Amino acid sequence: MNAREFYQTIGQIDDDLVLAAGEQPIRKKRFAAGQWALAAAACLCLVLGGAWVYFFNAPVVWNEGPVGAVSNSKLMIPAGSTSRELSEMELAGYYQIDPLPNVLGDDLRQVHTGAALYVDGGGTVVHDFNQIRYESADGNRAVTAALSRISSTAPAADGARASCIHGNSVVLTQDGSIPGYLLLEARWERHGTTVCLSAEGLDKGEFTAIVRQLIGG
Amino acid sequence: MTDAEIVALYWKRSEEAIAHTMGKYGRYLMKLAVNILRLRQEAEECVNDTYLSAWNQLPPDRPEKLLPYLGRIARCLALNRYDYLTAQKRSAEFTLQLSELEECLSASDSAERQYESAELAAAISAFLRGLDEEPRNLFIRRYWYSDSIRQLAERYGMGESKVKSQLFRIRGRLREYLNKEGFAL
Repeated sequence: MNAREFYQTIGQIDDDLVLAAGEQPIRKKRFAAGQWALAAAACLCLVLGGAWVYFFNAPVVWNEGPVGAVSNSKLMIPAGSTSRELSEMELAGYYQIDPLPNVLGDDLRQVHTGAALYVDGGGTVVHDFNQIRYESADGNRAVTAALSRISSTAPAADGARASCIHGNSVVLTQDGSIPGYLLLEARWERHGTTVCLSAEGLDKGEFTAIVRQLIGG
Repeated sequence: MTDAEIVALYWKRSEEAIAHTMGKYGRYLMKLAVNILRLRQEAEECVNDTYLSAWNQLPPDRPEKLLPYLGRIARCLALNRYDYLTAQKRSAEFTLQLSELEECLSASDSAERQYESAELAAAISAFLRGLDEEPRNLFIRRYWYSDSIRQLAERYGMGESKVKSQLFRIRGRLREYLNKEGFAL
């Protein structure tokens, strides 16, 4: 048999096979190089845009409600424990945060409040609630940063919605229950440390700028 | 109009049968003939001869599907025309297709067994049914419809080199299959 005869024989294959091959196939779209480049560029824009919104421009959500006033931590110090004052570097190391800046915003300067850990007889830390306070020169504006790793803090209200600031989940609350006096609060967790930032005499824009400053480093 | 209705017109000896055949399958037959002959004028003659042949064979034939039936007539006529044109060194593309098919055949001409071509065609059909849909259709488009490599690449959205390599593998498998089935070609 030669190729010509073989070709003729192929002509006698079953009709259904011939008909099936005659139907238009579902075309696999082939992308030209330019189309691939466009698709890649579109994906990149999407990722960068998403990242930008996520880290820098995500809208903040404010919850309404009472701001949990920072309690007098000394009331919660376990009896029989002893305190140890922390240096600024030790404080940052213990809470696994960057050293807190001396100035927040334009004129909120750190007020020396001291920072201490309380340990039991075996040297185990039993209380670590610490507050660092910033005040303006005239005393009308203040921000307090409360830090804790093991001491319990007042939880955020049930159903509170979180904002995303620099990739961190932050619960922002405003309390306008006192006429003419706005209390603001931001809570977030990082590296196992709960941070509760509260403010008096600041507007929301100033406050969120400070939150961004502290979270963003 | 359905194939059965067109066939019925042939059986009534109504010339409308030709008109309906041209309307429904004219483009397909033309493409098939052009694929083999590569010359439009020759292909047109081949297609006209196909209509005439169908007119003469219906009746007694009564095919269920006209596409493969007319296609077989057109292929046969085109092949005969190709033989004439080959003497004039034309249709290099179809010559290439035939040389590809030689890969499926034995180098020896001394086949011990003679086959009915229908028996061999049935074996080829069985082999094709064992293939996945895409390679099966690729083979049929190449060696039944006589599509060029470029046409196949466009049709199936793949590169020409991929088409060639796929066809090469299928031909190799077909040769093995036919040998295994006892067809010493």
